[in-house]
Amino acid sequence: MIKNVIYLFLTLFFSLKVFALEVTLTQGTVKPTPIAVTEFFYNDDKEEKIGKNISTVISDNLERSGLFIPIDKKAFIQTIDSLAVQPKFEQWKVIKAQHLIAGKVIKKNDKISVEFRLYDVFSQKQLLGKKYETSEKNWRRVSHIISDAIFERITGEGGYFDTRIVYVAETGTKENRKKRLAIMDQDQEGHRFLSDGSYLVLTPRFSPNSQKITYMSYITRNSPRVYILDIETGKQEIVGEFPGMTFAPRFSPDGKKIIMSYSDPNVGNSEIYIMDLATRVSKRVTNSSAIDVSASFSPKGNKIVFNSDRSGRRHLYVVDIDGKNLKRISREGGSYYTPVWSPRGDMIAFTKQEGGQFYIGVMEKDGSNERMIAKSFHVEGPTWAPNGRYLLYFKEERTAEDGSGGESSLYSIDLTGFNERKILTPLGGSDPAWSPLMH
Amino acid sequence: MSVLLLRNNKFLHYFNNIGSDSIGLFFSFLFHFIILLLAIGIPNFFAKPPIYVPNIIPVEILNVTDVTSVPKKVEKDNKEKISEKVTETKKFNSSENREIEKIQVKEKPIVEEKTISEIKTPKDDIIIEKKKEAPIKLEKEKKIIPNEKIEVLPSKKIKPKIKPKPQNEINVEEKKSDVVVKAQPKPKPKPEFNIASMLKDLRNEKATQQNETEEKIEKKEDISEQKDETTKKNVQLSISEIDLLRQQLTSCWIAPAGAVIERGMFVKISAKIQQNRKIYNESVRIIDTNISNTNPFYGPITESAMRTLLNPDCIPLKLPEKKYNLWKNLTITFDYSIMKGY
Repeated sequence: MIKNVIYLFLTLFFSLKVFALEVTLTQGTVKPTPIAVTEFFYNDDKEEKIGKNISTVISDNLERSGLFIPIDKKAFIQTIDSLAVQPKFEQWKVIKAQHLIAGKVIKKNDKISVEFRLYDVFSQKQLLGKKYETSEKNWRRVSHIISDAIFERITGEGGYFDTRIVYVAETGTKENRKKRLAIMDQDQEGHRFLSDGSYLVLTPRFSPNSQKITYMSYITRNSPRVYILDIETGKQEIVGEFPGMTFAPRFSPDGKKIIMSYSDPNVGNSEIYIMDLATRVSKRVTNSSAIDVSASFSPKGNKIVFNSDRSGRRHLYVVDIDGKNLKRISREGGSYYTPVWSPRGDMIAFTKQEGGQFYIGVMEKDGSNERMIAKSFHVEGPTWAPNGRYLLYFKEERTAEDGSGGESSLYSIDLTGFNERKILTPLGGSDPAWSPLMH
Repeated sequence: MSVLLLRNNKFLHYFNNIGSDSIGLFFSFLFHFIILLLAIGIPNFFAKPPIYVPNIIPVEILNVTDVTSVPKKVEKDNKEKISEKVTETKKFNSSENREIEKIQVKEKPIVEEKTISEIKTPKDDIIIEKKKEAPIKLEKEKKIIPNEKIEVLPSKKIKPKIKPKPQNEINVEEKKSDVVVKAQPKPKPKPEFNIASMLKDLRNEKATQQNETEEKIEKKEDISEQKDETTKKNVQLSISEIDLLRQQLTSCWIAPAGAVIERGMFVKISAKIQQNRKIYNESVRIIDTNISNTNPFYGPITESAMRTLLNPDCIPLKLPEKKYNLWKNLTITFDYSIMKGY
């Protein structure tokens, strides 16, 4: 009896299928998402200024990402006073905003409390709401942190706004160029020099906690060495004294080791070494008669990618940190340099020289799907944003016959090869390195 | 020789010695055999071997309207857009804002549905249909009236013929039947006992009855024809109509910014649509996807798909109003196969 009832129920259930029109979409529109970033609600003039500044920084950050298009504030219909009570989504729909950011600033003595809300205008829902309390002077950091939170919630990808860039600032002619270490926020604010230019510096790289920088310097002439600089204290230390030259250093993902190239004057070629920063013991990774340089750890820290001329031309190789399982990953023509493993772990960025041109390219970690995203007379030194979506590199102009030109500048680009933007620096810039997220 | 053979044949022997008991069985067998032979037919042993027919390639027959609806609807779109703007600007009226505020405060999607349904009742749509059908039937009534002998017919009889304002085809039939019912009790010549007048009335009545029956038949035929036409039209949406909808939705589907999309990813979304071609916002839901919840891009990808249906640029949907039954439930599959990117 029960079985019959169940059968009857099941047959009725399956027979009651509602007819629906079915449509399959295979193509969408790829364009930046319109977003409305309102000024933050305030009670007095001081709060108003902070609120406006925070709103501007967030808007600029999102616009610079290339994924969002902030709507002109003049087009806003709802006032911030009204918005502080309740957003009227119909009014935001009119101006084609897909997302809405509203917030509030409260200042008490030297401290500020910043609250923001992210809304989905179409579904009329709040997607995110957070509150930060900090000292007033930190308003810019808070803006970047809020930008990261918004970016992450909408795209599903980690943010990259609360980061810094270290690079080599260049001045002077090509023959007599002065190179200094410089650091700034990713939005080019808070620029400062870390060295005075009395000695040459090259290839600066951040530690995972963004507090230290390792780089190669010619402090002692004719014997370049790898150094570590503490950004906050300004304390500088040499990584090790070796008879030959050490260069192209990089921190391991846990920050406990440094990988670098060492050129032994007795042998004449260079090999890759990993040094434990606690014990200062170095371990050789590669062993060949070729020149092995520009090593970079995988995000897990168990593999490295480097470039070597062991096959006659410069190509990219991947090897375990114990020197096993060596594999060449670059397959196309041309010469490959400066490989960097993406923080996502899925891709490797590199510099390529072919046919009198330089390229910035990316490939999968196994060498497949190689594609070039930037091209110029001289482009070099890619570095990843912490979310693995954006890259920084430097571009050098061609030097004119009269000796003018030849300046180098920093550029950022999207992984897809779109949204190339020049990074404004007080002086020329080269060898950029993007810090991990600071929060 | 042949005679000898015949003599030795057991069958013939049996046939010769057949008894009256088994003759019935014999005829029954013969009869059934003949029927079987007639049903199957005598095999033609001289026929040519059958010709090899290759596998038939199925051809999907799609209904394409005689005149494409695209250019017409483009014009309509412009009009719609203009009207949209007007309506949207109207939304700044305090009354509508209040409604929205109320909804937001309550945060109950059901309330939204209710408010929408209150504003746009399905009755309105029925009325529109009635209005379209009404003039056709009125013309027929007009045609019938002159055939009748108005002089004889009492004024009471005419009234019900004017009254029928057919709301639906079914209602029309019902009202016609009312007319007939009312026509029967009419021959009540109580006020006058004049036989001549009675006869006249009876003759007239017969005439009117005949006319009415003819009218009924005509109307029934018309109605059945109309029904056939509408059912034919409503069987399915034409390819141009579906394509128009697809184009509209494609323009409203903004790819999830920054999401890492893998090949084969899809999101299936269902929604219920109002008769005014607007979506019930709260009916939009994911019914199937192969993207894992743990995927960091699950939210952005599915949200981008859902946002497509809620995009104001895609309201109202470009669907044929008359075929509401075919699109009142909509299922959209967002196939990310082509959109692989980073």
